[in-house]
Amino acid sequence: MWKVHAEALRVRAGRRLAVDGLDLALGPGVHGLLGPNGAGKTTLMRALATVLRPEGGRLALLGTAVTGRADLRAVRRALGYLPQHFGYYPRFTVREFVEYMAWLKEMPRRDIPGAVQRAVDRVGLTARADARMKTLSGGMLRRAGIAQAIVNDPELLLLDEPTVGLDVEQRIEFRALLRDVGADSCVLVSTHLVEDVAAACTGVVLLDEGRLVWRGPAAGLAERGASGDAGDSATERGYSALLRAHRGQVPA
Amino acid sequence: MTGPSTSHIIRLELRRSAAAVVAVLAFAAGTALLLTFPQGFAGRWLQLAVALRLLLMFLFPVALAGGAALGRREAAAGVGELFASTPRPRRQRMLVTAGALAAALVAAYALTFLVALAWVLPRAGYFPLAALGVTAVGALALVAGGWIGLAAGRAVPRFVTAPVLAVLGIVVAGMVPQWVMVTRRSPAALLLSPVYSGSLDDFQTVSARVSLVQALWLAALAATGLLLATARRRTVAPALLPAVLGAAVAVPLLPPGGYAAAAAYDPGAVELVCDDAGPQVCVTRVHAGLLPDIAGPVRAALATLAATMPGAPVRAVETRRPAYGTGPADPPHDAATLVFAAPPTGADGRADLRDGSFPGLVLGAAWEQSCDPAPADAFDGRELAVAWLTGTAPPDARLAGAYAALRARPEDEQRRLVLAARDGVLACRPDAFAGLTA
Repeated sequence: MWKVHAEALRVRAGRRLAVDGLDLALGPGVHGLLGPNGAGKTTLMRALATVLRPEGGRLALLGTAVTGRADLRAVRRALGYLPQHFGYYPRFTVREFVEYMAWLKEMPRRDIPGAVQRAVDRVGLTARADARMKTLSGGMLRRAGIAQAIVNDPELLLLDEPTVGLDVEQRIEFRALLRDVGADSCVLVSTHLVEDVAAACTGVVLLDEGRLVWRGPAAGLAERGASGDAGDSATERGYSALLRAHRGQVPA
Repeated sequence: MTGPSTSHIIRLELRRSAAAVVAVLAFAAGTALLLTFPQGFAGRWLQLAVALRLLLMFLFPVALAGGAALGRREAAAGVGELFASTPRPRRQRMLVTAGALAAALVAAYALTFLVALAWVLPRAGYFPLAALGVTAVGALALVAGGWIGLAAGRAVPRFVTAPVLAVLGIVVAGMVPQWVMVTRRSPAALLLSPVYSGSLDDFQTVSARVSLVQALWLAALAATGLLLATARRRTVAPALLPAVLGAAVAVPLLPPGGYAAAAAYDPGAVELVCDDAGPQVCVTRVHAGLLPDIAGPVRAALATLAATMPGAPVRAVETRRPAYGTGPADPPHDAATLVFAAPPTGADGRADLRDGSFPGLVLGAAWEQSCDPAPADAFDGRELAVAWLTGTAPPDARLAGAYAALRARPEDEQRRLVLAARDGVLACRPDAFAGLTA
């Protein structure tokens, strides 16, 4: 069973059809979602997070169709989501906010304290667990956001730009965390940082203008580029080559 | 068990959300304002409950604004998208927030009440259940205000929503009822305002019926606030139904005439409590706390009367006629009884005797009777009689001539006129004071 299964998926962002006829099937593992600005990455993430209702096509998450008037509660219990713009209550401590999110995720009451501590530990915020959210740096806030996303050990984890604000050491630790979570779950990471994808993801989904450009293993992305393509690494050159090919400029 | 640890989350909200700030504000403002006039309620439970209801003029807007601040929290914090991805329905999320706000507001109101009890308990001799009813209605009003504010803050999540609501609250709950009372006959709908406009005599109570109907209306208003706070667009109209129905049911059940009409004579408050350690002195139960302070001055007045004239009263009883508002007149009393008005209550719940007028007023009460109409020139006549008794000129300069004329008469004639005036008053003769004031 696919964790994410979309067929001819169409999703609007305001008046614009930001995802237009997307076919996608994702299983367990860490999948990097790449694409230029306006490609539809965030709109797709919102649809997968059940925040936006699809305009058309079919979308099934964790085996449950989420189009129409479907009851989404069971799916949402197994979701973890870090939005691009992570909102939080500034007066809450990290532990309190993660705990509050665990309550919103309808986690079993007895599991919450342990799960919260584990999530905070996994993102390296143990020492700041009782600090108010408003006192955290940008990187720490992002880690708190990841902690709330993983507190319920989600089957489907959606992270939109999770590494913004993280320093190099934290990004390396974050990649390890992704690999750990992705062992059993489906993790979809939307990012602009191609090297994060190369280092941490098992698969890559490349979008442009709401459509699927390419999907394959992370290693395969590097193989798509040539020395003449734009980019400082083989992965970046592969990314550029695929986009240009999709836009009909240069055959890939 | 997929059970939410709701009580834990409510405690978290109480600690970290604006609910706690609202409660502290309401408590601080309420207590500070209340303690600017402790003489208004010291020693009296019901007056405390009414004073708190008067303070709703400020506390109700605080609840509205606090609710609005809490209502815009999700929009201000930008958590809408994150929360929308979670399974717990928004209704439950808002219920917890509303519960925390209600608990905070009720706690602030109750705490203000408890602090003020320090001024009530040491001297309170009468506990009417109505005090709890009036207080409960006030607490319910705060909850309703908080939840209406919560809905408004969610619907219009702007920074200005809270201050605008606060101003609106002052105008609608406080100023409009006052304006209506002044400019026209108070309609029954005036009692939909939880702010107690007007004053309540110590011998009066707020009728249970009015408190019950107000509670019904405010519960309906609170329900509408809660429904609006959790409503989706299509359920906004049904959410208004409880408030509309509540008003439709409440208004016909409320008396026209505003809070003056809501007041009822309280037979329990006017039961007599007596001190028999000497000539009997009795006060009403609601003024029992004053008895230790006034028994002495009253007995001194009885002694002065006994030493000066035959047939002087031998016991004194506080009047049971309300000083203002409606209530039955005292029954006519015999010559052996003096019916006096209690002095005002001071800030410490004791009798406020500082202006020194009380002994003279008690003496003058020997020339009072429950008459309708009262004898002509009763006020002047009493002043002259007291002046004659004490041998001091009356404080009112108008009476200087009459007093001099009285004193110019032979001593026996003076006494005869003063005693005749008393006999005339006790018999409710219209010209009882004619001999003194002529």
